[in-house]
Amino acid sequence: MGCHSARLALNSFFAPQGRSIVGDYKPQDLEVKWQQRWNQQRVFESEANPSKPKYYVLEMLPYPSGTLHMGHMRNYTIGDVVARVKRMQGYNVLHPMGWDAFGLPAENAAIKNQTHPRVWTNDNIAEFQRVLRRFGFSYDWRREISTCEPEYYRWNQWFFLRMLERGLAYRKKSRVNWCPKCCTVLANEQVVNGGYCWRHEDTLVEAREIEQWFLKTTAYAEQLLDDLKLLEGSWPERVITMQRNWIGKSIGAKVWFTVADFPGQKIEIFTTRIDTIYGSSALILAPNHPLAESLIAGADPAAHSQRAAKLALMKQSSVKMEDVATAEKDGFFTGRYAVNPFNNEKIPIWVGNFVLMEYGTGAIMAVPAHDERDFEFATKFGLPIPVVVEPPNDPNPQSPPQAAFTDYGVSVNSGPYSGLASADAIEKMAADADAAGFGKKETIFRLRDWGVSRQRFWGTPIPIIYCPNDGMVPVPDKDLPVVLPANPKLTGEGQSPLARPRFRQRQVSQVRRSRSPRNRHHGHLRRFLLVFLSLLRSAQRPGSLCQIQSRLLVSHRPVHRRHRTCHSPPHVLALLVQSHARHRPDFSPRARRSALHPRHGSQGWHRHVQIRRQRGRRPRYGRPLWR
Amino acid sequence: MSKSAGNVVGALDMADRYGADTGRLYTLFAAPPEKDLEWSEESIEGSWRFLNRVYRLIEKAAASRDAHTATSGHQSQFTDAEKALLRKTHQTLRRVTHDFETRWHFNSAVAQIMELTNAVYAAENQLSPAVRSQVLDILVLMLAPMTPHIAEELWEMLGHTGGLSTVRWPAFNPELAKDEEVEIVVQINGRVRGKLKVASGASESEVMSLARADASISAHLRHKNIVKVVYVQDKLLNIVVQ
Repeated sequence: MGCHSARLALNSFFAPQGRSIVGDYKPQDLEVKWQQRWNQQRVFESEANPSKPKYYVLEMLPYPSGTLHMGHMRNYTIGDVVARVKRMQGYNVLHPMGWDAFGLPAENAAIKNQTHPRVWTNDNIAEFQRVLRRFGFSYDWRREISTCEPEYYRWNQWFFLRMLERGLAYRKKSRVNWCPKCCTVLANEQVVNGGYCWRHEDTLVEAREIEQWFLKTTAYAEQLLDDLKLLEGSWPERVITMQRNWIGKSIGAKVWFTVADFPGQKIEIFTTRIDTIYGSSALILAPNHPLAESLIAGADPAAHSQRAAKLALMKQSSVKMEDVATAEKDGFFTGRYAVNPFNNEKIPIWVGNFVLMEYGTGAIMAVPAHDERDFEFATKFGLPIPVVVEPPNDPNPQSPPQAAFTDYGVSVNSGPYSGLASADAIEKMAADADAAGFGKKETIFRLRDWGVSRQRFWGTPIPIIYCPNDGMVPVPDKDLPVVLPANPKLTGEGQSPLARPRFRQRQVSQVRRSRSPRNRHHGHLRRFLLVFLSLLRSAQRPGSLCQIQSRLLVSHRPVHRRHRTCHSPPHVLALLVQSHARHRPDFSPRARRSALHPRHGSQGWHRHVQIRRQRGRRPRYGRPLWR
Repeated sequence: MSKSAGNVVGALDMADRYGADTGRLYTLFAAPPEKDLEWSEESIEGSWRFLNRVYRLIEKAAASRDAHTATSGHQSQFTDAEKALLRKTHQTLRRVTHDFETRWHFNSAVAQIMELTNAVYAAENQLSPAVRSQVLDILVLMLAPMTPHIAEELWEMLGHTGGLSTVRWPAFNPELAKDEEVEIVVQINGRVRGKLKVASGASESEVMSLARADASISAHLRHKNIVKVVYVQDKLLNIVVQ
């Protein structure tokens, strides 16, 4: 036996001739054998069992596209180890799987191959399922869901209607990518080569404003931020920081500047550094600031047409929030001046591409000496760079400054506030502005309301009907799901098939209460929104048509692993916001903790999910494909 | 050999070539969860060879298994080699359990189990059937969540019926997991001032803090300036003071 290990070393995978006298490890055979036995004995099927503690393990549902590689397998293996360890430790483990099945790639493939996106999607699902089964993951396959099936997205629609009722879903105008040749909205990834349509390479994509659906994420900004504290110590610091930055709370002040020679006009700015206001050498507006056009119109008539053209151009080439820091600064003088309320000095009003309407008030005061972006802008366009804060231990800085000094220090050249430490100056100046009526302390968030509508086909239809008489009418619950048409003409051009007359007709007949002609909302919901529901839907009794009456069931699996969700702040936020929205009235800190905190995951799902079967109801759509 | 992104290696190819368990083990072993998975042919072969090693170890043990079943006897009945291996086994179990409960550091759990496997190989000839079967049972159960197919097979080979789905995660025996203690002589300026019981392999700083906590030794250190410390592991601590 002593030489056993030496022989084994020789008997490696690449030396099959060195086989030992005993049998060989033949994984292919024995893996199939055990998988069959697990299936026969149904060892991974979970049912409510009050005698055991609960544990819900959920990996992010895969988007069925392409080939599953070892990077994916790692994700699912980690989840599977967690599930299996917890089962061995006596927990009643819920470990479901499903498919994040809606999305643009399926639609593009369908356009290309002249098929229904469902064909492409279900082919991929079948392949993915084969691979996951081959790896022996311990899923309860009876609970498999596919987000593109009506039995699934019905609840998505239901959820949307609940948010609408609570005022958490609303419509507003928002910018989209529009290809004038396709006559359709393009996704960001369909805008290629720095602003051209993916199919018309000579056609510039326009920024167009259209009405979109939004969810009121911002209503939960403060709460979301607070809740991050619950994760400290158990989630990676990096992920928490990412979330915190995404929410982006800034405490600062709003200040109103009057416009010179334009009585009654005021421009509101937001700043976190009111102490630097004596150093502002311009006001800069976002290109789509509501005052931009009227400011230009009333200024120097000779320069008007040139300025208006420039403004129109800047409105079109949108700079996204994440690119603001790096984008090449562009701007122009409007011909108008604003009055600094602190010292009554006139400063020029500019329009700049790095100021966003979506953030703050859509207008900033430029303080080049103490802000990097403003410094860059002022250097490029020759604006003065007055220094109003000095480092406390370096009273003779270079003049003119070579870079922005953005830290706190001591105020200088700031009238009565000179000599104050920055923090004190901020406090005092905000209070004085408030007292004098030209400013006020304010907290703002970087977090935006969340645009959830898309004008494509392959998504959950938005359960809203437009009626010329009644306006927007939600589809009643009893008429859900609003299903996608079975044979759409997908061309990638023109209106979404969801807006075409035939589909609209069908929707009209769904709403029987009124005879007036209606247009269905011709968009669908984003994928992120869909995936949240998988948390709920998977926990339902498999195969039952039932209504979710959960309080909170989300017991998150531990997410110490590399997980796409963690890296995507909007995605994680999506989960959190929706769990808040869903449980707003009785959302206890403890329940929240169990949603967020891996260690509390074991408090689990069954207790929080009550399943109520709907009596006497049968699905009106066909048999679900995936069961 | 290694290039970035295991993200290009097809999962099905991997399963066809090495089996799902090797693929699973590789993804767990190659990196801790917070790091990216670097693709490495070497590492996948390492996982493959390890599973083969475990398989052969247990196959051999199963072949020579005699009728009497394992009972956890009293520690004093064990030989030194058995004691050492049982200690290693229960320490590994303790660490793997801990890794699964708190940090989910699968790569370190796998490394521990690999080390234990080596230790079993090294002690193979000196084990009673009872000890061998206890150690191998624990080894297989620790592998079960990560490489479930081979674990089921091995569990059956070890003589158990009913499959792993009904088996609980094993509890480590704190008595057996306890570190061996050694006695260290503490000298101050060359004169013996006391003796300390410490865990075998304790570091200098651990022993120093124990020495400071010991009343009779610390009395000799009071108001003195420590000039030099000489530490011979598991044997001697010599402190030079002024």
